Amino acid sequence: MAVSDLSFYVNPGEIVGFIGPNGAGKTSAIKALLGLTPAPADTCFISGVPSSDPRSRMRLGYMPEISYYPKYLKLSEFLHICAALSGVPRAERRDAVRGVAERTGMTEHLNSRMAGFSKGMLQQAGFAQALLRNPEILILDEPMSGLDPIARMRMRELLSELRAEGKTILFSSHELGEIEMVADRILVLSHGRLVYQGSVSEAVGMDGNLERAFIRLLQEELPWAA
Amino acid sequence: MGCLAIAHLSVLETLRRKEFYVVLVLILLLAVWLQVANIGASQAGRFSREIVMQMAWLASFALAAPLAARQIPTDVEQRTAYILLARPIPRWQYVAGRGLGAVFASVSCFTGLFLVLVGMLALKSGAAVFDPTLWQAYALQVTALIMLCSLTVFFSCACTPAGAVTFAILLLGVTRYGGQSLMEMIDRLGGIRQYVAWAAYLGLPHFEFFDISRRFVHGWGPLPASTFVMVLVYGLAYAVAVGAIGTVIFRRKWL
Amino acid sequence: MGSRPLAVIAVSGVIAMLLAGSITTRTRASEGESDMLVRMFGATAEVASQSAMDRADLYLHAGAAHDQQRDDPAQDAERAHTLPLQGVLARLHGATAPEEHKHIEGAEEKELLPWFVIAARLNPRNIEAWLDGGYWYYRTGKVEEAERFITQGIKHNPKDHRVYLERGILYHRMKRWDDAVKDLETSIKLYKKLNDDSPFELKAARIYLRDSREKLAASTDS
Repeated sequence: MAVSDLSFYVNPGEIVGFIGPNGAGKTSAIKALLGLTPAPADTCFISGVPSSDPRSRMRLGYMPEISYYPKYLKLSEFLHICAALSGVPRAERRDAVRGVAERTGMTEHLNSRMAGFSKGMLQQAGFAQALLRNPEILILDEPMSGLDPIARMRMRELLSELRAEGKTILFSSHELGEIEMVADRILVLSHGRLVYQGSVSEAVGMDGNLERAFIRLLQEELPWAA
Repeated sequence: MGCLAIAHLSVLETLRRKEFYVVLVLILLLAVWLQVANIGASQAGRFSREIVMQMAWLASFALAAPLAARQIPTDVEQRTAYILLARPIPRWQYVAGRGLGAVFASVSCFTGLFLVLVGMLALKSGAAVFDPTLWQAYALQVTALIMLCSLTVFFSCACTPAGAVTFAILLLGVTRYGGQSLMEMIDRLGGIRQYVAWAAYLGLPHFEFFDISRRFVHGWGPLPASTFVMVLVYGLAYAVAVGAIGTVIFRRKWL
Repeated sequence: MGSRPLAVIAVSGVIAMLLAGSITTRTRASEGESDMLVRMFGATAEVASQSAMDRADLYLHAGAAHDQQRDDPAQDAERAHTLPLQGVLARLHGATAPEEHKHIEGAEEKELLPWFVIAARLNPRNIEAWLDGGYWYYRTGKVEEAERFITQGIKHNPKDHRVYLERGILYHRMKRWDDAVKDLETSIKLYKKLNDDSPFELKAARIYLRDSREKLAASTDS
């Protein structure tokens, strides 16, 4: 089993970093939240709705880790289809698509085929589709992956803007420096179990930076890794 | 509704894949060659009608099965399904959407090819184009394509695209060309074996009822209206039933 | 492999196949030389050739396959169907595929010809295709085409007695006694090499040969 006895909460309006070594179960936990893999009954809820119920995803936006998108489509076509699936009324779709494209800096690429996008552009396209229908909750799996420093800075600013708008963001990343800059709280996963949940400042407090804190937490969990 | 958006996605993807057009061009080349080659067909009206029907049928099946087979497995393998299923749509709408997309794409291509081939037939013998049997045959073939797409999507929920195509085409071939013979074989069995074989036979997709090309080619006239409607309803009901079972399988699938 | 190279290869393959088929039938096949199509596609070509012959038989019976013909379809409908829905399925089978026993006649008989040509081109070793094709060309009034067709069959099968017999009978009908005698003598000579006891073909060849010789002698005398 990829995760076991995993229990955590995310407060409205906060950014929570979801970190752990490879194979810790971050992606498995996210897939259970999204209903992509079955979770035991009555264990997984989003805003009080079981994750197995499609209604739990009404106010949720998800950006996958690996940016596979239908390569034969133009970005605008892809975003229109995602908007339709998110329940955006037909009359509002055009504005919704333009809005997210502007927000993620992808306006000039709307009529381009996604097959020709670079990794960074695909990440931005992925973030754009997650923002459709102005979701209250965002789940982002490795959002900084493949972005150049300027794009990362822009992404950090965007995350801060979204938090100021009252959005709740759960994002997983191996980039501990990015998490330290943006997140309010962190959840540390190891071997499918939660080994720490608390504020970034508390975690960093003793060790000076998040990376050292992370290693310490894992060593406490796995003494043989010292 | 979610399934229409996903169907739209399927159709766009299909129309932009190049190998799709290769099959159409090959079939057209073959049909033209058979008409103009020196094989004594210049005065053979039935032969021309036969070529139109068989080429159109062959192309439609050759397009529909692989198209339907790769809808869901490719999506799951490439994880493009995650973005779609992370939205507030139930899985049955996703499966229905992918199936509908395969149907729309297959039927559109078949219709286009069919009209071109009928145009060729019209040049030879205009009257054949107004034969109601021809248009009945077209409607039945469209229904057969819907059945085939549904069957292939069903298989693709449980196995690879190659496996799905193989199973679907195998069932198509067995029933289309041996459906009546199978029934006669079962009739000669006895006891419990006969009932078991008959139950399995009833569950098969009876594609043989959707091929009235011989009636058109040899001038036997259209099907009686009641038979025509019965066959259409059977085809659509079968497609929905098989699609529903495929949805149940996909709902339990870990992605 | 990308879709464009695949498309090029597929189209090239089909064009090559079609050209091979066309070129083969136009070239003179030397004795014993096997056809390019059969060499390329082997058993598939043979099966396809037989399918074309089956199709010709289907056309002869106006679309009703041999094993499905009923002299009285109504009588079959009366038969007891004991299994659930068996009667419904039987009626549907009967409705979608013709069952009545009949043959095409008159001008419609030319509908068979393309299938014999296809069968012969797919597998020039399919003797029945040459024989039946030749017969039906003659029966539909295309006598010269019949001669050309059977002559092609002889070029592809120079050691088979049956094609010489068929052409000999054709020449007899065309009153070309000299050519008829030559072909019938060749047929009998080839047949005797088979060491088979006198079946119908040998008897037919002897009858036609005797008659052709008499007619030739009579025309020479006059």
